[in-house]
Amino acid sequence: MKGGLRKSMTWLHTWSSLIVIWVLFAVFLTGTTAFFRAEITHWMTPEHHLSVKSDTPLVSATDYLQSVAPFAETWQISLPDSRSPVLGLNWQAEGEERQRRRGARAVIDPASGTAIDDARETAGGNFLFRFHYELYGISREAGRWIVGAASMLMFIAIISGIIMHRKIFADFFTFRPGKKTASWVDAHVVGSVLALPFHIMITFTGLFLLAGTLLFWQGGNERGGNERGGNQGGPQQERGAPERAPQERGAREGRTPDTAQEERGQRQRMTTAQEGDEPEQTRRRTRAEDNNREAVAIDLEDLYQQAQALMGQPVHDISIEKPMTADASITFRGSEKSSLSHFRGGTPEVTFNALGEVTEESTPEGAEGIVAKVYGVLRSLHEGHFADTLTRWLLFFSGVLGTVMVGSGALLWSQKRERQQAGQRGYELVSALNLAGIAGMFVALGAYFWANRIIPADTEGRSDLEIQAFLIAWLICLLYAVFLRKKHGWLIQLAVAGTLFAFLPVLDFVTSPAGLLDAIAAGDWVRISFDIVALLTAAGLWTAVYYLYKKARTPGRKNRPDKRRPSPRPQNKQETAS
Amino acid sequence: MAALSGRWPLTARILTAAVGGYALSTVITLLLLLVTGFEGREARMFTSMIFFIAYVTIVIVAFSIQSHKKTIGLIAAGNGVLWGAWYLAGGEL
Repeated sequence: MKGGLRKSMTWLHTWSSLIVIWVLFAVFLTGTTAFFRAEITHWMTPEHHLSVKSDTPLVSATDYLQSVAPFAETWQISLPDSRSPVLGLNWQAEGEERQRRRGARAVIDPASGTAIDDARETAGGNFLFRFHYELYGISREAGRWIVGAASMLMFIAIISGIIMHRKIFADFFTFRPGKKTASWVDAHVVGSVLALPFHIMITFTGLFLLAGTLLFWQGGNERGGNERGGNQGGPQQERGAPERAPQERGAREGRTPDTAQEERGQRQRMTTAQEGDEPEQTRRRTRAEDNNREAVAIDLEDLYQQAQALMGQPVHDISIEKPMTADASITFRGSEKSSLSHFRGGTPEVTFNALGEVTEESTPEGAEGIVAKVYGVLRSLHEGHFADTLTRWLLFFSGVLGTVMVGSGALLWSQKRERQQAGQRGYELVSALNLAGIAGMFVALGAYFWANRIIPADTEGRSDLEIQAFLIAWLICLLYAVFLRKKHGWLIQLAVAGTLFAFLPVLDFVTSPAGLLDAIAAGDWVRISFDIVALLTAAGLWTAVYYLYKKARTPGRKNRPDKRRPSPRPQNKQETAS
Repeated sequence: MAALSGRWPLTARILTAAVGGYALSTVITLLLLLVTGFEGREARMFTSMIFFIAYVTIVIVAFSIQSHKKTIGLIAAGNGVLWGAWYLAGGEL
């Protein structure tokens, strides 16, 4: 390479990022939303908005379980938390096959104790979460390969971007608005440097979460890995996950269902159980009596308080083996991943017997060995499971800056080459992809949320329709970008996206059974925060529209006097005089 | 780009950095694995973390060297020597 290190790094930075920049933008944008996937799913399930917090959710849970599955082998209770206000319940019938260990499932309102049976099927935040690491409509392996390769190129772009900057921190404090290319450079640098540690961390950790795919010589999926959808691919985590993990996931995913099919399947099982209540209960009671399993009274509320005191943190999950019998075993688990070093065995647990005596108590010892510890910390950082609300917002805003960094980088490339390369095939291709990849992505996201409320709640396969709305909106934007981008492409697509996001809160309060005042009264800040973020997104998009509109109305460069260019030297005094 | 000279040498450099760099990162990771003695889960965690650091470093180095020939030669030689060492050390995939 000629031209020295800085020039080589500039070339590497430009091209390593450009060839995948639209994938990276989509990955960053959807990945950023994934920090709030449970909250997005809550917003996208308006039937849950009526759910009200309760001081006695455990009473509601046990009352419901006793009425529906009094003689189940196990009960699983996921208590409401700051991310979801509903109770998630699972139970496993006696003799139920192992592969059905997730059992039936119900989501109930903790205050009223009634099941929310009619909740709509939605792809929710899970679609965005999964999209950010395996895309959609292609095989899982192919999606992970694409995202993995794009992440590797992003990692190269970040490191080469740091090397190429002469004065990276001085540049950070420079912003030159209204200077065209210089403004884009400044926006790109600010977005990059402000959250640089986050960008490095999220890219690097994203890479090794996809290592099962990228490092085929490692053994990949065969050795354990990441064939399962819910996990990002950490083979170690999957392989070493404790036996109870699927049950826990089942309880949690009661609020964020992985797929529509799964949701339908679970609901079907629950309906079946409820429809056949009487004979089923009688049959089970007889079997229970045969086994000398007499119902005994267990003060779960008291055990709950004891468990919290012993663990030193709020209880999040409860599982009860042989519930309400003399052989009962009640296990309370704390917040699943409350520290960065949780990795395996990071959840404190306390188990009681039916007499209320502690039979087992475990505290998180963390992972064994330095490698597992480092891996666990890095993995937690990427997934943000450890994060409380404030930290989650910080991660979210860092993700927004990452999205700005990628988007401004893409636009910077076009801006720099507009004069020389406009009309050339490569330049026009990048311009079209920039428009569809950036503005179009916002339109698609807005359409996805709108589809969630417009498609009737009882439509078959509606979660697939939500996803189709996302993809169709994106495709329309791409077609517009390819054929009509010069007809105010940016202005129109950003305005459409801005409008979609601006009216999302209105749509929310019109179509949700709980209005704005109800949401405030119920303290449903998850939902209100979503609406506020939608309004802020709309404000950002409309600001961009305003500047583009202003720019379109100002005379073109050719017609403006160029202040930088010196006026032609007068040929002679006569010309000067004239 | 002024920083580049010739289409084919550049293509060769990109391929060397991408493919040769991948192979070199792999063997560096495997050798480190032999040295550290990690096995099973720990070995996979270790390789997952180390590989990408090695890979990005090699790509950056591959593009920071002025001469195309030197870059290609260096990565080819590095691969030859390290894969040989790994083989002699009794390594197997």
